[in-house]
Amino acid sequence: MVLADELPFPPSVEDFHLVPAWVSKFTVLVWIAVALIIIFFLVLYRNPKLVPTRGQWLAESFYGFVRDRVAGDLIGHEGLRFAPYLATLFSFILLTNLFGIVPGIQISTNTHIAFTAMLAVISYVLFVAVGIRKFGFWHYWKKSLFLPAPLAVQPILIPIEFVSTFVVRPLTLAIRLFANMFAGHVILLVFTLGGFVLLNSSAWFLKPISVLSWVMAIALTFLEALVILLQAYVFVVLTASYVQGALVEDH
Amino acid sequence: MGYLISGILVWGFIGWLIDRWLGLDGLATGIGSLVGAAGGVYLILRRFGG
Amino acid sequence: MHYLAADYLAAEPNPIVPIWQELVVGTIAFAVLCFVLMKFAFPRMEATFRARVEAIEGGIQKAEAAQAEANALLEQYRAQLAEARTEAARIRDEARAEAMNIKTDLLAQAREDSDRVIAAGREQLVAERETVARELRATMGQIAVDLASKIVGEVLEDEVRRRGTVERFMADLEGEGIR
Repeated sequence: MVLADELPFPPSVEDFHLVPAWVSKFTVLVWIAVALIIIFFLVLYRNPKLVPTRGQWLAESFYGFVRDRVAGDLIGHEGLRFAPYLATLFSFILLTNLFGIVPGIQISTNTHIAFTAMLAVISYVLFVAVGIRKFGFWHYWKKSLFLPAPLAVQPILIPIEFVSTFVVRPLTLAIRLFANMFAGHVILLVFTLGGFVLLNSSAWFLKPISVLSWVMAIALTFLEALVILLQAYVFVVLTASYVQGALVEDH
Repeated sequence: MGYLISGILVWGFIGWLIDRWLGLDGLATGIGSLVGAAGGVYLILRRFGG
Repeated sequence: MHYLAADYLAAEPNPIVPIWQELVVGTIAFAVLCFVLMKFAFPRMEATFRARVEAIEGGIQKAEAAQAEANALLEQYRAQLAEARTEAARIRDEARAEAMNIKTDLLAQAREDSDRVIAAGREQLVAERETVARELRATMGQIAVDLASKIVGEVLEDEVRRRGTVERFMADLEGEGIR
């Protein structure tokens, strides 16, 4: 088989860096995602009516879901002004995640930590800025770091509070999404390419097992679809809850 | 969850620094981790336990 | 299969370290997305939501106004009906009272008339009887005197005795007549 030499197996980290440059598959995909989302919303919402058409209803229910279920329920009435950003964030993560299981693309831009880190930093800056704007600089820090506790244990607690809120949060935000997408991609690659490797193996009895491997790949694609949806949702919900935490009054 | 991890990380790291400084071979790291875990649990209880 | 991941892990880019070009491109692309959606798409949706709420509230207000108008009309109609009813009752009462008055008037008048007729009749009767009695008395007296004179042949000189005899006779006669 000719393919045998070209198939990279097992999948390695290098698979994620096909052309590390300004114009790589990933940067192009990001632009495509941005274009698709803009087209989606502007086309479906070019002529809004009070009684929505089917397309308008689709766009509205997407925004309405983030607006009411995430911004409204989690942050409260104050949160409605963050709904546009949260909806943008959700649509962006969802679509770029979806690239991971779209045939022909097969990889999510969120398998590169640069993109998830960028989103996490924005969420981080957002909730810190929101808190400072509402309470003022010093009050916000005091509110974030001090819990009513005996003075003796404050030196132990304050570093924990600080690290938890201002170090761990953005890191976990970025790494959670990145790791989920990365792992999902690796798993799909293992089973898909593993099928080819089994098919090309010299031992004849291994060849039928390749079918099993591909079946697994397909089954895992469905699982991956679930992860894609869930991770996009989790990212948005966490961002919203951080904003809520920054806005909440003193305890 | 974040509190627990942060607590262990922060105080474990401080303990590790003390270990390096005094050559205690991991004793301070262990104590630090315990202190951090306790602090993390305390914070969780304070914030979410009402 | 002799190539292992470990062989080129060292040479490979570390997946935990972000590629800075991607950071830049991603940030710009996401900023563009945010700008367009938050400027053009979602505010229009909010506007539509508001318009929808207003439309629904407007509809409710219109319905409420119609309801109020209907209630007012109903109230007015009821008031008019009640007014008409009391008016009718009043007219009926008045008519009844008037009828009663007329009836009592008529009755009184009739009674008066009958009383008058009876009284007149009775007076006339009394007068006639008196006349008859007077004439009769005179005639009887004359007859009696004449008769007595003829029988006795003498004029009763005693006036007193004569009158007493006549009177007694008359009284007897009267008692006989009444019975």
